[in-house]
Amino acid sequence: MKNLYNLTIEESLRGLNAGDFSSVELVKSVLERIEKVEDKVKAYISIFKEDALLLAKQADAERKKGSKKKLLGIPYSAKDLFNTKGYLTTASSKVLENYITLYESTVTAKLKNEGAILIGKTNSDAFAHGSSTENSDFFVTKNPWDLTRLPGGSSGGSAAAVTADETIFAIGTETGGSIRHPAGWCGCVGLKPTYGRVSRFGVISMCSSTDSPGLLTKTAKDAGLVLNVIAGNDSKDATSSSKSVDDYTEILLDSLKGKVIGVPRAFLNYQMEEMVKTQFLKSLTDLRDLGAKIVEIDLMDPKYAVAVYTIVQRAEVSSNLARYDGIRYGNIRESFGHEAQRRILLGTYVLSAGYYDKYYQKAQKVRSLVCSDFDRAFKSVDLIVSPTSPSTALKVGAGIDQAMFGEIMDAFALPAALAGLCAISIPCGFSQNLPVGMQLIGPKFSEKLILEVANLYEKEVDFSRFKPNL
Amino acid sequence: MITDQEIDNLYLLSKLTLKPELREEVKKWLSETLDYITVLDELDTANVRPTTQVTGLTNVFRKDLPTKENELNLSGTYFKTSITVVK
Repeated sequence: MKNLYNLTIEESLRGLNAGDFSSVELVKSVLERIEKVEDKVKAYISIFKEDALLLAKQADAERKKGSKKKLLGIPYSAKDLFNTKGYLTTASSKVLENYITLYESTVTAKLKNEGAILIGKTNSDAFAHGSSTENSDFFVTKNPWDLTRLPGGSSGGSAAAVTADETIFAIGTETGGSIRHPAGWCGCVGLKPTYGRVSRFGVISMCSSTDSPGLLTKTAKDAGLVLNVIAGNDSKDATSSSKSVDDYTEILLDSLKGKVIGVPRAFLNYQMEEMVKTQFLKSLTDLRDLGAKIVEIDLMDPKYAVAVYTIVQRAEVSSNLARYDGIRYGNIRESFGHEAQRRILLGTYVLSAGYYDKYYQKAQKVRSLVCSDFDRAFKSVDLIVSPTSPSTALKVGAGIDQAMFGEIMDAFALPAALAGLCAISIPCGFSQNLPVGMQLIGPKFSEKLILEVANLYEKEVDFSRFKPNL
Repeated sequence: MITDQEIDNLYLLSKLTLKPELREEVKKWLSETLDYITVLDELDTANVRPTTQVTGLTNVFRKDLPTKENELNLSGTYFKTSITVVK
């Protein structure tokens, strides 16, 4: 018998609409779950107990009146990089540790308009700088599968909360693997939409040319339910796309017959844990069983995307973090953690006179090569798959003081991030009781396709039924 | 290897403060990272245009009129706002 906090969005909506339980009961269940396990997982920076219960009461009343809001009464959590009006928004950084924001991000406003209930803000690497959540200025979130290990990052808090059933779903942000990577390490679903599919308005900027707000859910079906709400053009974000929003929950495919899936040779040859490779190759068999044709393809070695991302991201970070002057709001710049300082320094260096051409412009040119590399690949395949990360969750402390740790962990995620493509990480197996993630990368605005494939795979090999023992 | 002067200039440009005991450490990781990214020199980009953004969008403008949301906050020709300076 499932507890209410174990439910997916789909199951919650079914139960709420059938009158099996109320939103107040659902939110209470999740809050009680948080009380029980949060000391071990430490996913949250703030929790809004009273406000959440109030909104749940309102949701129940609206439901009785026949409201058709898409996520009415469903509790969710937001990475603390989303500005949520009237609440603390810290970016997990000492610079903003007391910052009560004055405005609302478009994503959280959209979720609120469709009845979703924000129950708390989750921990991350400070300013999203990292792939482990160890760079949070406050505390390290733990992986619910093994509390001595990291959840990945930078959306580690969101991934851990979803996996530990401390929320029904969560939103996060990805700049270079920050949704997919923690989803892979924590064993939940993580979707990075196409750049521009979801509005960046109100999201604390990291690398503006790759920042993609996205979601972390328990199942692929749930991912579609959330994307339906958060996707779409926003006049407040000049880089947001005007392309129409599909119905991401509509599953038209009943097999993968006719679909060609590419596996990049260069990714397979990249250094990775043996068991990750084994689990990944096994999942290729599952995709074949679903009717897909699997072919090896040529893609650039991820080491180039790693170098490009290192330069471009840090350059944009140095610019985006210049606004934290400690005068108008926030604490002084000396409050920046080590990693933030390192990124500002490197970013400033590669943009400075005498080095701009050698580093920044070179990186931008190689970025063009990465983009055209994918364009060429997608002429012969519908989708590209690879392991999400080269390893399973590492021990707490693994990322400390390693200059390139984040980038190497994100090696498989970075190429698609630089090209602005959409990608989803789904659990595909376990290695010594730690989740292994597989990612599906699609051309721009092919979220519908990657979600359909993810749904089919999930039906075939459902890893969402496994839960950590907390 | 990065020079002391370059480090000092970098901190000035970044508006950050260098703790003297960290100087050597900073030089080390900065040099290590710069060494790693030289891998890009393996690629010929002589005839490649740089990518600055991946949306392909240009000149995204809107009419210079108040949005519905802002209309609600107008009071004559002023904007109503919450108190930002508390006594």
